[in-house]
Amino acid sequence: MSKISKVTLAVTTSLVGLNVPVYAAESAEQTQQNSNDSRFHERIQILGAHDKLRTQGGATSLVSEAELEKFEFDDINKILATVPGVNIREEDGYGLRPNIGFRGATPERSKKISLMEDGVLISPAPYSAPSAYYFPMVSRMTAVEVFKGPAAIKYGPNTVAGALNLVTREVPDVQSTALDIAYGSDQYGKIHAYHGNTNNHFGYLIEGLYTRADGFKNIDFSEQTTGFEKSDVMIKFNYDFSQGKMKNFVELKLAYATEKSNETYLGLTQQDLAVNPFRRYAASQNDQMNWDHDTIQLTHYYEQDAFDITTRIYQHNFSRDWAKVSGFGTNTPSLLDVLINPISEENQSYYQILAGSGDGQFVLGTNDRSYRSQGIQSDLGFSFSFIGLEHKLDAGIRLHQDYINRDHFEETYSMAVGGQVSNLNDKTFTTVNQEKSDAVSVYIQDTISIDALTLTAGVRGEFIDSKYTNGKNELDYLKKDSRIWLPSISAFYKLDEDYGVFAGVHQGYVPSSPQQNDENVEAEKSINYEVGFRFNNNQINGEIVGFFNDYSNLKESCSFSQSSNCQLDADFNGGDVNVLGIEAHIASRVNLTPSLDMPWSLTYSYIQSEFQQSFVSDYPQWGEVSKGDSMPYQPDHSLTLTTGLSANDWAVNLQAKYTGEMQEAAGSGVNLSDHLIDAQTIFDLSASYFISSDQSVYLKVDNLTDEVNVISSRPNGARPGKPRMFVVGYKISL
Amino acid sequence: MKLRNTLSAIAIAAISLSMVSCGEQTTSEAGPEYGLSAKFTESELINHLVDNVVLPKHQAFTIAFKQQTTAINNYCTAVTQNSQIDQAKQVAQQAFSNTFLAWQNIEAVQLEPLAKEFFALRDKIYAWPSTAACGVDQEVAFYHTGTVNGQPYQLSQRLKERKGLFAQEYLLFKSGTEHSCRVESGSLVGWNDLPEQTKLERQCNYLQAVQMELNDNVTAWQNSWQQGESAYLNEIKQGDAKTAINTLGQALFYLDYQLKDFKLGCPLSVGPSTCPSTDRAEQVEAKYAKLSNQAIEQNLATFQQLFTGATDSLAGDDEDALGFDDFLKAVGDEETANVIIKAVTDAQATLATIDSDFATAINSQNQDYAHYATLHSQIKVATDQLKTHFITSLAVDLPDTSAGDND
Repeated sequence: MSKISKVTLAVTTSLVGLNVPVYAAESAEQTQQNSNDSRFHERIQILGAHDKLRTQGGATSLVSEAELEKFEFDDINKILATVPGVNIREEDGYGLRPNIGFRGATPERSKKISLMEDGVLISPAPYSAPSAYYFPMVSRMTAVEVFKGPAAIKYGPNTVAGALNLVTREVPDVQSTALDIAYGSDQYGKIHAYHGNTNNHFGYLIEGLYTRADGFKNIDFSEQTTGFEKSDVMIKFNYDFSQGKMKNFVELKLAYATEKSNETYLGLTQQDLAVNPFRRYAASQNDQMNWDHDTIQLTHYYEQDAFDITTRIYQHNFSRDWAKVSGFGTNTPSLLDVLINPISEENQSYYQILAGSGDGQFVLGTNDRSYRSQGIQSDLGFSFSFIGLEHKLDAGIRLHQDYINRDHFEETYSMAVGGQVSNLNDKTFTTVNQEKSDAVSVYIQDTISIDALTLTAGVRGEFIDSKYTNGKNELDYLKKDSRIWLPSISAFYKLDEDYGVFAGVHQGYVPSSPQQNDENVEAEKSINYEVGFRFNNNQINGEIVGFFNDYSNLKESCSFSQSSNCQLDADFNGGDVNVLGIEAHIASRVNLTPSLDMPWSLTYSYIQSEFQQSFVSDYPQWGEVSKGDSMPYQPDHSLTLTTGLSANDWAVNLQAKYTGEMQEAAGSGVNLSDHLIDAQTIFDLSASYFISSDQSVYLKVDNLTDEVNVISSRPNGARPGKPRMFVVGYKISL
Repeated sequence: MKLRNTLSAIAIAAISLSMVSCGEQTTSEAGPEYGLSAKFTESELINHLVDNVVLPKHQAFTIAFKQQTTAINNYCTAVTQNSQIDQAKQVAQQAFSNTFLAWQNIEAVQLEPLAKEFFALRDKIYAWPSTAACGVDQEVAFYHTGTVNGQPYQLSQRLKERKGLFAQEYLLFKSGTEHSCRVESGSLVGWNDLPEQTKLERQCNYLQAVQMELNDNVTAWQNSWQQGESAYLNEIKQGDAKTAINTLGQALFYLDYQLKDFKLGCPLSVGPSTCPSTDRAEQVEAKYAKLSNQAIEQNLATFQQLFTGATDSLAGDDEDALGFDDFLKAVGDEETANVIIKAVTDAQATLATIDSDFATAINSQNQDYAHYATLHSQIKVATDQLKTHFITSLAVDLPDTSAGDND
């Protein structure tokens, strides 16, 4: 556990949006005293990690730093295994571009959830193009928080599914230096280091993280690796102006990240995967993703008595270009068509081009995009008594602007027998456009305590002005103006000191892209209900929630990652859809002996969805949908068991995750209709030995049983999960 | 008790919330070429289809129609002179076949002048599947007497199924001069006993009258396209592009409600509930002239041209052949374009394998009958796309003629 300064803890606390009064203090003694105050910890340790029963409605989950360090996962998909109600479509095996949904929401590029870092929207363009091609490196995070149900209403614009917040390291209170180096299978390497200190009123932190791997696949006829290289640097400075009980400080966060990965959308045929799952076709040898991301964020926090306000000014710039095999040109079958049926007369020659066993031409598409997301937001908290009732008022406003510039182009390549690939022509620009949004968001929420009842009611407003412009045709544009209010209400009733029940309802909403003219089409909206039971008696804690999301119009949009031939960013309407489910998380720690503990947790999710009408859609994952069909990429059941042994100088942890089978398309008549991804169980093991209080070594084995299954047939073709991977590491903390 | 009250309060609050209308308000302003990501504009697409696909078919029809006028007049002169009737009739039959097949190209692109007011003008020229062979015989007799029920005979006031191109086909191709009515009554009493020459003369007189009326209607149709400031040609090319796209897109649905449903569906017993209850072979189009298959061939060819922008000199995939396939690609729905083109190509290939005329295939249930069923299925693949993906991708309104059918 890192050492946390009073200032940064308070800032971070505010950043994650918990606006109960902050009791930071001027003296170290008082800081220590406050640090030990359970209310203080409540602000960042939301669920299951504190000794009190949380009394706010709305399902939330926290993966703490200690939990994150157990397995040293780099992959958010694996980290979220212990969060109930999360549905994931895996893709590259390393989690470079996760597909995360909550409570059945489409996981594609995590675009349906509000993705945040330190309480600020972090998707490249959250309103204009929310697909999360940039995802912060979770290896450097100190907490991962998930907000679902009414708890999500404070974190827009997407409120249908919920919000995911990644918490970065705080500036340490005292000098703190740490290093973590690791080496593993497929030339995996990690160097993670940070150093920080606080002198009087000034604190700083510098943190760097570098990871790489050669990848676990091999490209036919090519020496090119299939791995990745990612670097991430973050610097924080803060200054404390606090006087007495008045808290007043600022923090500047600067971050830069870059990635080069030889990733592709091209998978394999089922037959080829069965023979060698770790093969890649020759045509994908030039496929590569490159991106750069920078962040500048200035945070100001002020607190006086029961009032606090946090203001953040932020700007994120993201640029990426991803070159990858995109097809064979006009009037030819799609890549997925070919890989689903490679032996048909029409497709055979195309398959041979991909595999390098035949000659011909294919198209390499480079989706060059640049994004900016910037804004200013203030969140305030105020506690007061009114007519004998205790109120905690939270309110916030955000002025936000984001845009995406697309400069997509294509180049024709020739494939020769034997896998030699050569470029035939210059770039032909395909999609050149901009989508831009200016959004004002407001919310207000009041939490009232009436004896054992805690009642929370709030409303969120989203006011979005957007514009789409075709860069190749100035007459092709669309200006749009959308306004919506999203109410929520929830309640928690404490039945006893250790347990209680809660219920809530809120309006879900996902804005459409600026390119979609949906003046006469309903936006994605839903009414979401949940009821739950929460308990925490120090020995065991948990939460069981039942939810029902009643979509009045489920919308999806087209992206290349869905192996689609639909118009990029086009919206599709699925109409009335019901999603219901159960989420449960129970965790405990058994003291086997005075020096040996056995922590364990159980996470279970059940999801069932039903389209409420029959329709035909061009959306590649829907097709001809009949009433009663369920949404794709939703396992009915998923279960994660974590357990381990923890002694004074060593610890062993095991995570077993079962994911039920998933269908890859909802209806008939489209590629992958009636195609299922088999159920699978993945075991991950980690073991640590603490050489001293400052040093430790660790060994981890991801996918212990080397289970190799198809994890998805999208974007284009079947792809395997990551095989067994060994990693050894060394940590030192000074 | 307290818990119950609390939960009740929560439930009431939840229900209230779910009933609160928090509807999204969205307003938008779209650019004139919003949604088009092609190298061409909507106007260029419309101009190409109208100038290079539709108008050449008009010209071909009017030429054929003029030749038919001459041929019919010559035939009737031969009848009057009772000289070389058979030769003149063969020429007239050929002229009719040319006109009829040229009309099948017009049929497949029924734009507003023909289609408005429930296809009123189209029906005056060709009312199929509304036909009445017996009615034509009665009209021949009425026209000869010059009165109907004591009133002066006016062809323009007579029923559409008794005149137009159908009446001409019947009078030129039906074998023999006997009437087709089950009961000989009214003006037809004694018809079959008349001398052959008399019956031929009276039929020919009516044939010429029908030709004259057709000439008036064809002229009216052409004038509505070409003449005056409100000429339809100007309207469709220079008016609102979205409306023009909608009109041309709806014209493609001839493939559905006429070709699939009535021309093939009814005789195959897979048509809509509005199919006639007569013998199935009797429901075949142009059964007297045995031009059914050629009519279907023309319909498919014209559909293919309207959909792909192909012309006599441009293939459908030529860059300059702007059609709905290009439009679909421009809006990102190339798959629908490909499915439709393939379905129509398959249908044309199937039609080319058929030897028997449709009525013979129905009566004999030979192997060509199965080919006709295949043809119907292949066309349905295209019309299913039209009624779903096509109208969705291009924001074309589903025409009333194709709404609520039995697909």
